[in-house]
Amino acid sequence: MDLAWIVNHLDELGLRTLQHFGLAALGVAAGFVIAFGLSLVAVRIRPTYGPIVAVSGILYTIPSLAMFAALVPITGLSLLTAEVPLVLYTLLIFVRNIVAGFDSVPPDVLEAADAMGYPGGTRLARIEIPLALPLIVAGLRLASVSTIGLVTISGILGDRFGGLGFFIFEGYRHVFPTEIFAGAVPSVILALVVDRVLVGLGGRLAPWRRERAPR
Amino acid sequence: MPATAAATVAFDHVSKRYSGTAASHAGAVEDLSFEVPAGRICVLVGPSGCGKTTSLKMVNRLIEPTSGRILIDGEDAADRDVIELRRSIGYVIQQVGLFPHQTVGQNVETVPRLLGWDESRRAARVDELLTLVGLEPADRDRYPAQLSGGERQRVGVARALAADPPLMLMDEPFGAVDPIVRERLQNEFLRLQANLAKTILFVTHDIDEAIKMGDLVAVMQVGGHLAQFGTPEEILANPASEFVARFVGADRGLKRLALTRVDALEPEPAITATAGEDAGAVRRSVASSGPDYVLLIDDDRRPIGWVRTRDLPESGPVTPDLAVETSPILDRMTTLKDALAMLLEAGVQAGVVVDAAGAVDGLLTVDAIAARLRPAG
Repeated sequence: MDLAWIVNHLDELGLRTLQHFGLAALGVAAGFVIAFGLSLVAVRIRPTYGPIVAVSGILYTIPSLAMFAALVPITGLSLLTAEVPLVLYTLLIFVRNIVAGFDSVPPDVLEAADAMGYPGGTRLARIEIPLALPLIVAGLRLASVSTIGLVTISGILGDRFGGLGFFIFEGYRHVFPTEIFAGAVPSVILALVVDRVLVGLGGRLAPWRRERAPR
Repeated sequence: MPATAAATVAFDHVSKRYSGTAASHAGAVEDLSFEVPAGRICVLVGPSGCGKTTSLKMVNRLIEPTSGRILIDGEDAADRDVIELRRSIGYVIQQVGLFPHQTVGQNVETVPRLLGWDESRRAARVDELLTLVGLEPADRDRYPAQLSGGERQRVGVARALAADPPLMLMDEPFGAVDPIVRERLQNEFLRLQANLAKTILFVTHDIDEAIKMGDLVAVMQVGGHLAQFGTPEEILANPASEFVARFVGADRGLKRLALTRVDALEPEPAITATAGEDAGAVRRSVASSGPDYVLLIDDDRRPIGWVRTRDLPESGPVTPDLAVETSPILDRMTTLKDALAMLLEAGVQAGVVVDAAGAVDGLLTVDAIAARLRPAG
């Protein structure tokens, strides 16, 4: 371990960590939006659930290196090339969890909501989404952790991408283990921190689940 | 509580068929016609699959009829905006269907909120309703998961009443709680209804609950046919068919007794003696009629017990220690079914009927109750 190297590169480490987080957050956010739309379709039109999960599943099996390599001729060494694989890999996780979240809403609750005169959109916003949230947040945790790990691979696209993966590639090229650790360890810490934050967020969004004890 | 006019509900040749032809499909309804006057509880009762829940859900259009009309205050429900229609009809179901992520208060104010009431009006209404159904206004901040089954059911009733709907639909509302809680909720609801006077359609598979809760009872049979429609008394006294007779049970005579209270029968006069009265005078007055026992009462005519005529002393006062046994005391509000049970348990032929102050009215005999078992006419 070359501590002096780490101390001399603290600024760069910080910047790369921020970039790493930014690349991951963008991919997770875009993946969530797309998957949420797909999930609503799957929940409302049930026969579409199988095909949507099947396609997401096939995408999930493509090796990440291969996907980046396949995209370069089409979209170049661009942000789009860096993000598209990240987004596609979240779809399976998100669709499964969001649909499971909607399925977890008890039928009698939906029946009561309809009978009270909730219009469809209001029922979705006030009843279905809040009740699906615990499972949606669980999906968000999984997708975030896996995407944060995956961002490192985008370093293959050059210096402008990769986040902390940049150090891993540099360290590998120069056979300099300190730099590999300097990329890998913060990435793991970032994943753990984001996970904890999401756990806290989940609890805050679903206070009714924490107060089960009878008075 | 502001009293909104209750609505009349009329089923006019309503049918619901599933998958084309199969008329015996569970939940199907065949040519259903009946009318519920405003302010009455009409119970739809029948075995599972008889279409009673389907019939209920066609009123607020959770299920649309295949043919026929459901008229609410004369207006076809199908012609009304479905959202507006549902907000004007209270709905209570067995699983309650409370929103688990909302507090009791938020659950109760659901319809007022959808109707756009302002916050202070909603808050006042929640307090009023929680008190009405026997909860505390402080319960408003609890979550459904923190409530007992009975409390949840009360919140469900409060939520259904929130916007003071002229019509309520209740589908096995007390089916998910234990028998003791059910009995209490039924009684509380009947007391509430005595003031609210809503029009209520109530679904149950339990004939005893139907008889207890209904001003009118619609007995349905599989295939969605209306087997009989009438008051509980009519249905128990004159079942329209073999099916109804079997459904209400072989003990329908006894069930009728549960519909009648002691005060409906003229008590037979009791030969009484007041404590402290001269025993010789009592002896002489009963000698001619010759009963074996006289009923000893105090100065306020409250019963003390029976005194054997031959135990009466020749002279001196009649004292309470002469009383050998006492009979069941029957309050005038006791049902005849309970009265009969008390007499049979005590192994006696007659009970002492007392008024609200506990003073003796007369006697009620097992024979007099048995006479009620025979169908009128």
